[in-house]
Order: sequence, then C-alpha cells, then structure tokens
Amino acid sequence: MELINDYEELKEQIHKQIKKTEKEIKKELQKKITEQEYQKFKNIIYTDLNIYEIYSKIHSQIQNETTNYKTSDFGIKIRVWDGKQYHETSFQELSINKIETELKKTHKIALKKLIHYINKKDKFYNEQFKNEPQKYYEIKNGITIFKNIDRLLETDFSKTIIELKRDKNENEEKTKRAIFGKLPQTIDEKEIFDIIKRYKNRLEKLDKKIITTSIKIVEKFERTIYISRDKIYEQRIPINYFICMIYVKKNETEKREIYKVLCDDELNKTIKKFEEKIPLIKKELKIIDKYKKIDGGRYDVIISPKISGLLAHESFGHGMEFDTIFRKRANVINWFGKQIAPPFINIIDFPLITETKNGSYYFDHEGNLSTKTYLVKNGQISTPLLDLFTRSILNYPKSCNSRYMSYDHKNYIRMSNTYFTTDKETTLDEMIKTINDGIYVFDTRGGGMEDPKGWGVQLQNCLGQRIKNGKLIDEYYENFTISGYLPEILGNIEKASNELKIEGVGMCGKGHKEWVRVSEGGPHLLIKKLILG
Amino acid sequence: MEIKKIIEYLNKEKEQNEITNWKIITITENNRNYYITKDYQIETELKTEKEEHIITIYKEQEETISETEFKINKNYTISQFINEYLSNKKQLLLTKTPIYKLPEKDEKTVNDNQIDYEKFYNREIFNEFEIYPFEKIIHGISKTLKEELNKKNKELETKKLQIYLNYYELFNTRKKITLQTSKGIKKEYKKTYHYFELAISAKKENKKDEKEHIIYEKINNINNYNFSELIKRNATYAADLYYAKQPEKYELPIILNDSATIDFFYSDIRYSPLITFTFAELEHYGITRYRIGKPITNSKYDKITLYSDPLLKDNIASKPFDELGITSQKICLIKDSIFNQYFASKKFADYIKVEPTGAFGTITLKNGNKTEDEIRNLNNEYIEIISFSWFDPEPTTGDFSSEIRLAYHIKDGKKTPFKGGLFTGNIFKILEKTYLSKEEIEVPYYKGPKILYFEEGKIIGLK
Repeated sequence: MELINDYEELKEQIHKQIKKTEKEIKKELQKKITEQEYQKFKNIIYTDLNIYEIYSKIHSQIQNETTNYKTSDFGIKIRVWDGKQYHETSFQELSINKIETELKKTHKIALKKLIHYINKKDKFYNEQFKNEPQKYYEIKNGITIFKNIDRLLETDFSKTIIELKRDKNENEEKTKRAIFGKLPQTIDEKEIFDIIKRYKNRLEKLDKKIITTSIKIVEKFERTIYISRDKIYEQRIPINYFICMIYVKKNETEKREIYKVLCDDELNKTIKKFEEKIPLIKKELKIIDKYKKIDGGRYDVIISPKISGLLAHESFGHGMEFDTIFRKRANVINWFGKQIAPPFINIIDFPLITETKNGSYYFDHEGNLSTKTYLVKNGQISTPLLDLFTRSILNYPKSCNSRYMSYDHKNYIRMSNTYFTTDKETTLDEMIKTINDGIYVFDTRGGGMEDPKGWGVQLQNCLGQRIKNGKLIDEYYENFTISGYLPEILGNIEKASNELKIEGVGMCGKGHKEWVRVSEGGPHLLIKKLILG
Repeated sequence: MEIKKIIEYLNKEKEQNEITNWKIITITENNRNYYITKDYQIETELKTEKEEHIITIYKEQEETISETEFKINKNYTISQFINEYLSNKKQLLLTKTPIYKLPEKDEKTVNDNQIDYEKFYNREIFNEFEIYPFEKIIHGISKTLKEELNKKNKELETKKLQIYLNYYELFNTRKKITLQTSKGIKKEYKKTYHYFELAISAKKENKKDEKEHIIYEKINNINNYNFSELIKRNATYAADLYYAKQPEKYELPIILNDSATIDFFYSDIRYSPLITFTFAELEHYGITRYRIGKPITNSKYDKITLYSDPLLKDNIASKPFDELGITSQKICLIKDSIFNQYFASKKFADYIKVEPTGAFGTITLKNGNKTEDEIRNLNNEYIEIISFSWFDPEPTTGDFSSEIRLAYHIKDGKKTPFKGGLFTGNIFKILEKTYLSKEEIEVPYYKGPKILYFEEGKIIGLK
C-alpha cells in the first residue's frame, strides 16, 4: 500500500520553522530581560508538533448483512512550554503557512508568560539539581527507588520556572531523524469478506443454541510524526483486529454473549490467533447452560493471564502514572521502595515488548523512544511512568509514556503493554493441584476501573470454574467481580505459572475519557483469599 | 474544500446510476479546554478546531441495499475526495443488507416545523466561542472552590480534617452538525456543552492517609450552573470518605442517590440493558428479551415508566433529528413496567415494521408518589449509595456487581460511611420492589427521580 501523503518535504519545512521561531523568541526574550536572566532562561521555551493520522476500515457481517465503513482522523497539534504550562493548539489545515501562523501565535503567548514569570522573580527550578542530581531517586541493588516524593509534591510550583529535561543531542545542529514501523498490507476486500463468511458459517455450526454471530475485521493504520528542534520522528503502525460476538440462547428469555477480540500487525497472524481460540469457544458453548451466580466471599483463586493483565493495568498501573501522583491522587506516594508483592513478582510496562501488541508504539507523543519500565521489581515498588514534564521535575533521564487520544486531546501519562512477570515458576496444573476449594477465573466480559488513591480493585463480569480437591470440576460462575484492596491482593500472590501471555486488546480511559489502545497480560497467578462477588 | 463540489460530484454519480443515494453529515467542532493544578494554576490550555464530512453512499437493488461510509476533512482537495470516493464505491459490490428506504424530504417523519432549534445551545457562547471569557469562568470556579473548601475546613477544624484540591478540568465545546441527503433533506443544529472533572481529598494534620472523592460532571449550560452547591455537596462526601470503613456483608434495602442514580441507567460508555433491550436493532437480531405488551419486570411497588426525550431544552443528550433526518420525538419505551415501544432508526424500523423514532435522547423516568423522606422512613436500617467505581451491568443478562466508592449504612438515624464492597444483583430482579422518589432531578442524559429505592439489596463486604 502506498502512503496517501508523503510528508518528507513538509517535515523538514516544519522543523526549520520551529527552529526559526524559537530563535526569534530567544532574541525577543534577550531584549526584555537582563543578560544574567537570559543566560539562565534562554532554553525554557520548548516547542513540539505532532501530525496525527489514522485510518480504520471496518468490515463486518451479522446474519446475512455485510457492511463496510471507513473512519479516519487527521490533525496537527502544536505545544509550547513557557516554563510553567503548555499552550496547545490543534487544527486540521495542513499547510506550512497555517503552521507558521499558529507557531508564532502560540510562541507569542508563551513568551509573554515567561517574561512575566521572570519579572515576578520566580525561581529557576532546575538549579537544585546542580549539586544533587539524584535528589528524587536512587538505585539500590539494581532497583530504581524513588524518594522524597512527598517533599516534591509540597513544592509550590506556582513560583518556579522549569526547563524541560529533553533528550539533548551532542551537537545542537544535528537533528535525529528516523522512521519506524511499516506500511499496512494491501488486502483484497473481497478476500476479507470471504474470511468473515467462512468463520461465521463455521462458528454457527458449532451449536444449535447460537442465535446469531457478528464478525468484524478491522484494518487500522496509525501514523504519527513528531517534530521538535532536536528530532523528526515518524512511526507507522498497522493493526488488524478480528472481533467475534456470538449470541447464544440460554432459555426463552435469556441470552448470553461470547466475545473474542484479537489483534496483530498482519491479518493472517490475527486469524491464526483466532483459530487458537476456537477450542475455547467450543468449551464456552458447552457450559453456557451451567453458569450460576457465585456466593460472594473470599476464595483461593487462580487468575488467567488475561485477568492478571487487567489486575496489573487497572488496579496498579494507573496509580503509577506520575501525572496522577503529581496531582496527589495516588497512594503509591507512601510506598516507593517498599515491598508490595512477593519478591518473585515484577510488573512491567513496555511499549515495545513486540511491535504487534495492542499497546505498542516506537516512541511516545513527546518523541521519546520506547523503553521498559519496572513498576514493580522483585516485589518492590520501583519506577513510575513519566512524561517530559514529570521527568524534568524529578531530574530523571528518561520517559516514554506521554500519549494522547487524538491530536485534539491533551497528552497524559498512559500505560502501553502492562504485564506481570515472575522469577519463580510452576505450571497451571500444579497450581490447581494445590487448591482444596477455589475458583479458576478464566475470562471476563467486562473491564475494570482504577482507584489510584484508595487502591480498590474492581474487575467486572468475570467467568470462573470451581476447583475442588485439586481438580477443576463441572461448576461454573458468571458475571462476578473481583474486588478488594490492592496491597492485600498483591501480597497474597502465592504462585505464578511458567508462561507470559500478553493478549489483552482493549482501550484504556483516564477515568471515563481519553481512550488509548493498550494491552496487558502475564502468567497465571494463584492468589489467596481474593474477594469475589 | 467546498461541500458544494462534493455534492455536485455525488449528484453526477447518481444521475449516471453509479449510486442511488448519498448522505453527508458535516461536523464542525471547537474546543477550549483548561487543566488546573492543585495550586489553582493553569497547567495546560488547549484550543482545537475540526471540520469533517462523513459521507455515506448507497446502491439499492430490488431486495437489498449496499452502503458504505467514509470520512474526509476540510484539508482534502477535490481529487483526494474523488480517490477516496472511488475506493469506497468498490465496497458497494461487497456489502449488502435487506432493503430499507431512506426518508424523503416531505415525509411526515422528517417534518420539523414544531422543533425549536434554538433550545439546544447557548447562543452567546456559540457565537463568541473564540473570545468567550472562559478564563474568567475558571477564575470564578477557583474562587468558589477556595471559598467552599475554606468554609468546609472551618467546620472540620475540631476534627483536624482538611479538604484540598487535587485538580480540576473544564472542557468547553461548540459543535455544529449539518445533514444533507440526496433526498433533499437539509437540516442543521448547534450545540454547546461543557465537562467538568474535579478531584478533592480529605486528610488529617500530620497523617499520611488521605481519601479522595472525584466528580465527573457534564454541564448543559455553564452560565446557570451552581458550582457552589456542587462543591459544597462533594466536600461533605470527601470528609465522610475520610472516616469511611470497609463494609460488612449486608442484605438490606438500598437507596441510590446522586451519581449512583444516574449510573443505574447510563454509565458514560453505554446504556443499561434496561434501555438497550428497547432498541429495534436488538429485536431484529433476535437478542432482546423484551416483547411488546409484556412486562419487563414483575413490579410489586412503583412501576417503571420510561421515556427517551431528545427534545429537552439545554440537555446535552438532546438532538432534533437522527442520522437520516428523521425528526426526534419523545417516546414512551416502557409504560407501567410493560414494554411499550421500540426505539428505532429508519433502517431497523423498516426491518421490524414499526415507525422510526428519531434520535435517542435523555432517559426520562416517571417519578413515584413517595417523597425522599417517606422513602427513607420506610426502614430504620438501610444502605444509601452515592457513587460507584463503574456501574456496568452485563449487557445480555442485566447482572451487575459494582464496587462502591461511597455509601452510608443508616441504622436508627445513625449514618456511617463506607467505601468498597460490591453492590450485586440483577437489574430486572431488583426493580421488582422499587420506589421512585417524588422529587426529581434533571442532568445530562437523565431526568427523573432523585433517589431510587430497592427493597432487596445485597452488598458483599470486604471484611
């Protein structure tokens, strides 16, 4: 497939324009303040520009109805940092004249603010790190531990001017340029509909109780371009989704749905993943009549990789997003460096664990390359997720989790692919053998909700199977919620299986808005005394 | 690129029988969003502008209709639009659904003479959006916050408890939606609305533990919105949360109040199955549990009468017409707990042979006869839930099990706050023994009783 738009020339023009307007701003600044102040504050103003482009082709069939539609989104966002806040503007007009006008307008506002801060004698925040660069973190036994965060949060930032700690090039004149990723496949659309029809027919033959099946194949292509004075980066991310909803009759009034969603960067890989789910679908169809309500209470539980991923993401990961911490909304402030889980447990966020996960990207929306972050290492709370602003106030060298939902939304700190790993392994079968009376939670029809301050856990609409005397028995439960207090839950992890499955395909909200694609997973985990209800 | 050129091109295609019909929805949107820190400083100011055309093309056969949809923005040149159109036109050979008729300009269902288009937006904000003094509003909100939190903190002085701001966000939106079809329909409406998110925390002097309360509030009209009352009410909740215990297990009557009432019907992401089972689409696919004339629940106390009202003045959920131009109307979906009428787009109305109903609107629930006080006096022990983490019933069954963010256990007049635990049940079962308060509220997406009472409620505790 060819790119609809080739931006190579435009990228260079924009880069030149950013450098030019920043140079002009510096000259203006120099005229308005003392030379000493200028030397201190000349690099405060920082500009970045994102071009965001996304296409999705959605092919679907339900009953004998086939539909196809295409959605797309395109826009440009400019951000200018003035020492205390970002000034952001977004628009769709793709012309260098419009970009130049908006850059100048936004720079003018930012400059006015910066001069006001300097005249007001606000302190230069970064000075404190000259003698104490690692004021807010240390590395002990290979684990990064953040410290003095409560002191940091007591800082009156209204009286400080902050220079963003961006990746600096050795040579100011040298610009980093790179294109990551690949173009999407070109797939014949008739072939896609043939695939859909084939699977629909196959699935509907599995059981007479099936009322109808809906199958969607979504071809999505996301392109983001990041430009600042230092970098011109582009990433091209194709994602193909296979979404299957099977509606099943339980009795005259009651229906149930079986929902599966898979993704990969190529359609044939996505379909291969769906093939692996068909035995599970067959099993679920057989047991659909058997689901009953669980008696609420505490159980010894084994959770599947999908559920452990949700636990890592919803219940823990959100509380490690430093913008949440900065807003004093996270209990983790009191827990940095402390043991929250057994020593064989890690929780990681890694946008590039592979390129084909739903949460993957090469660089975040501030142009920072993807790296692995240990949220929990050896059971200890370690490194939070950061963006350019928060790493600057911490004087921490890297960040890669600044993401926006779309060009006309603000950047927030967001997760990517979040998962448990373990250094101590057993098998699922061995774990089951150790449980006298418990539940194997194998799937969910719902999602979760974060509670970063209270550390309450809510993973909804789960499906489970009873374990009795070390064996799975023919008893099933539906639509229950996993709940509890996070440190207690993580502290009660007893075992983990010898596998790592990152299969979550979902959208993550910050509260009820700002949706970004994510993935999550882990091994099976055995957790004692988990509240189900 | 001018929409006239798009229409000219599409009409030519229609004349040449390449397509039988077309539809264009143009959305123009501006936002001015503000993000405020705990120190009442603006952390980010975001201005956005957007204009997009969503184009649907149709090809009718005898028994079937093919349709495909794509989007272009104002950046597109005419040749880019044509390329996009031609690539999507090929889909018409691959897509097929049973035939349904697009509405004609002079059909009764399209007539909108009775609709007052001015009531869906604030004229001043719409016309002056770029220069509207939102910064002044921010300043006003910050002032009100400081005042109300100070007042509250004075009350709490003896307990050494303080409420403070974590952050707030205010989003302001101006939108214009224009629909044009090859059947001669041309309609347009304007909207203005706002979103306010606020987190406040309660903490004690020299203690590390804190409790947070967060509010997500959609606002129809910011000029007459009572921020003072909102903050006062929620500051009390934040203070109560500080003392909130972990709950035991309860099997008691339950009252839903405040955001919990609204969440029971609509949770931001989707409607409750109580509502979605009224959709004609689900009837067409055989997956609704409702039947016209049959009870939706076996009501023993207050019966449920529920409407969709898309024509309420100043309500975000209001829309004067749907995506094909069918004029919206208030419809009675459920009457006295009996399923009365489907909500139906033109497509699914044709399929199941009912009248189309226009856009879906505000969920409007008929009030009951008992006052709030009378309801609270029904029992000397009950639970009152103020907010959930996320109330999200399973869509095919109506089963729910939702974590509680704030609730009160009331016994013999004593009110004890708690946080956590799960409110579990099934919405159809729990509605069997319900009282709806006489007092009414109207907020975006909901108009109806202020409190809901369920006689047989269940909370799974954390102890």
